[in-house]
Amino acid sequence: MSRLGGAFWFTLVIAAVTTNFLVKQTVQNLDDQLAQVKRKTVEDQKKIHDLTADWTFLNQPELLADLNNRYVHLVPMSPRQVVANLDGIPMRPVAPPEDAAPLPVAEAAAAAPLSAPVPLDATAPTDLAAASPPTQVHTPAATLSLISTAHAATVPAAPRPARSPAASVQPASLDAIFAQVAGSR
Amino acid sequence: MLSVQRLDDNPCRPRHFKPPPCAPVVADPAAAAALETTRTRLLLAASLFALIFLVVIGRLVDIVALGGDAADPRVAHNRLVAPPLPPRADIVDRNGTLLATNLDSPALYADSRELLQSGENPDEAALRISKALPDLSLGDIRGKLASGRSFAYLKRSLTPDQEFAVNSLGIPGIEFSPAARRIYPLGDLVAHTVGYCNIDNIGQAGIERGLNNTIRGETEPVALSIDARVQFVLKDELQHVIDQFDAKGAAGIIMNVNTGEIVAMASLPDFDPNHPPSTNPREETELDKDRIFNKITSGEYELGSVFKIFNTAMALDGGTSTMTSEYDARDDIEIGRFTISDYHGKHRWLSVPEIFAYSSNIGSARMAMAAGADRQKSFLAKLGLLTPVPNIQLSPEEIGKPHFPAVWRPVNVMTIAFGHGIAVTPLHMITATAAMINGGILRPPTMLKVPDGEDVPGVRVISPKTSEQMRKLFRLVVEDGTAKQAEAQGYVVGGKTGTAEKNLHGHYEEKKLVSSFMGAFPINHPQYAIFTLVDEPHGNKESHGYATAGWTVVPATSRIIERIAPLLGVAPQDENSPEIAKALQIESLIGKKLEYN
Repeated sequence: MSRLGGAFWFTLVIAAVTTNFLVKQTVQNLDDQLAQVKRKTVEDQKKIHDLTADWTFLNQPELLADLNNRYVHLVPMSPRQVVANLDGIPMRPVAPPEDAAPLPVAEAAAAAPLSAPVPLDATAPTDLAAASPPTQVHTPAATLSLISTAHAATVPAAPRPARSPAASVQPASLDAIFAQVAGSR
Repeated sequence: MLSVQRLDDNPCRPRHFKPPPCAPVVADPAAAAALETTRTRLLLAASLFALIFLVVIGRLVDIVALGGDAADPRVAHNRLVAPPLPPRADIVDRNGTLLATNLDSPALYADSRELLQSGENPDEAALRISKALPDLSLGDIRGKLASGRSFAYLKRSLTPDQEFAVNSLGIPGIEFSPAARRIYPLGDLVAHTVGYCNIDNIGQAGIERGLNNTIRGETEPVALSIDARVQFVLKDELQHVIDQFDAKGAAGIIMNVNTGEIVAMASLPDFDPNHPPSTNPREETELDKDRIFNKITSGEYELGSVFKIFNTAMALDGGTSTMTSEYDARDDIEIGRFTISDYHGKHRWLSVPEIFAYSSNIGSARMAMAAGADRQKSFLAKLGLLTPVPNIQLSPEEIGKPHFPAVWRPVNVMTIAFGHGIAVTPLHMITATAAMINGGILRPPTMLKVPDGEDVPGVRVISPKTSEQMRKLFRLVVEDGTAKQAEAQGYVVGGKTGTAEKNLHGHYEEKKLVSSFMGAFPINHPQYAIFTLVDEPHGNKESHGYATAGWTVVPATSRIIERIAPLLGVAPQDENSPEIAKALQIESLIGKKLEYN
């Protein structure tokens, strides 16, 4: 009996020591990993810091302005290009009756009041300001219709896709738009 | 059974009863004593071990259950690498763009003792080092290597390439000491605001100097109110004015009128803080001084007609004039050895808005005389125009002190009305003007970012009604006055021009002008004020020979506003809309048209 008890305790001790050793080893490994990750993090942070400095240096406004002047020729936004709030954006114009034309965008643009004839040459109206006489005050609606006209003019006239009559009807809601898109496929 | 009975004679004992074991009876007393000693020693040893185990168990319980000494720094940190603390905090602009940071840049020093001990030839070593670092003098290096001292800097702030080159020479006794160098990635863009540091990382100018102690102790970046993009636009247009009018210099400042934040501040010519000009009195040139000098915060100028802003506000707020009051501007005023005359003389009685729009010196002088010296002085003092700007994040050396007469005589009252005989800094000018148009609250200027939506406390200096009248007058000058070219379509600009002759050695030089423009937009609900100044511009063909504000800084301001307003999120408005026209209409001028010559 006492021999059995001794064996039990001995096994328990061995088991405890082994478990202890294994757990300790695992913790040590994890600790090493953690230290390594932290060291790497610090290294990376330092690299990011150096690269941020480099990035800022390369993005000096003066340098960017120079590159712009040489290659892309962007100009500052003019006040009339800024739409101050959502109310300034007009709703899509209501399309005419179904039998009128299969291209609602071009139709709507033509219907929009314009004091000057819009050139239908697709390359001409790149500068929106130049496309209209300077005296005319640009409402966003006029600007938008200019864009859509220019855009519509690039669409080749002959091979028009056959559309269902429903496609030209102004959709009432977002769901209706989705239904319309699904129907046209 | 029998044998058991033999062990114990009692037949009635329970079967499982075992008699207590008896210690062997030792007859020998000496042996008994020895046995007793052994027993005692055993007990002692056992209790000692028990005690040790108890201590161990106690400590285990302490660590596991009670948390132990978690605060012991060795436990937490001996295996972890903490990032080294930066010697100075980064400085960023309001959008987080890096304006100043630290980069590793070791210093090179020579341990001459070790070099000589290793048997290296100092002359030869010096030659090799000077090949790797050609900007050092050979004789200098040789002297340091042969000196026998254990420490002498050869060069500080090495680039990575230089470090590699020297390291690969492999000379004993040539060592690196880790150091960080302050760099400014945007170069000269924000030179005066951020300032610069010397080689020991101590701030020498700008924020670096003014907030030196804060920046040294901080690890989080210091966020300035400056917007680097707006700063670029301001600087770009000012440089354009300098080039166009062959001017000596120019300066500009843009301020948020509702918080006092300085969004951009430029003073030209400027410098690259990565290579600041020498401030050593022996080698410093006039140009170096001019480049380091911040015209906005340190430059004291007699700004001329822009001061009529304060003169008019004083008269309207004090009730000594109303918008319909008229003053005699028929003839020049002779006082002492001075003659006060008008640049655009009308030679008739002028109303207050006309005096402001035509910039009549005579009318302004009469308005000031009607208000009186005491009122004028106390009004200017209330606006902070007679004391250095308080609480700005700069060292006192960089904050200009206004100049004004010690005794406030009538002639001073008259000249101060149109900005002569008093010199203030452009920072004073814009701070006080912001209070004139923002509804009447004076707020101290700041170079640090104010968190979005935070209310900045201020002091009321004029009534909201006077402030509204001032806004109308500002608009009048741009619509019908001296600053028509300031109009920026959609941004409803208002402002006041000023062209002053420079006072050199006690007399005014007719050809040396300081032309300035104090503008604000959108003037119906002011958000930003902008003050620009050009030093000694020269007229050219396009300006028909004029170098006045209307031809120099006014068109520049218009261009600046057109470029920065989208960046600052100012929504364009239709200035011809009835609401805006009505809000900015001066009742007494309805139906009248200001004629201009």
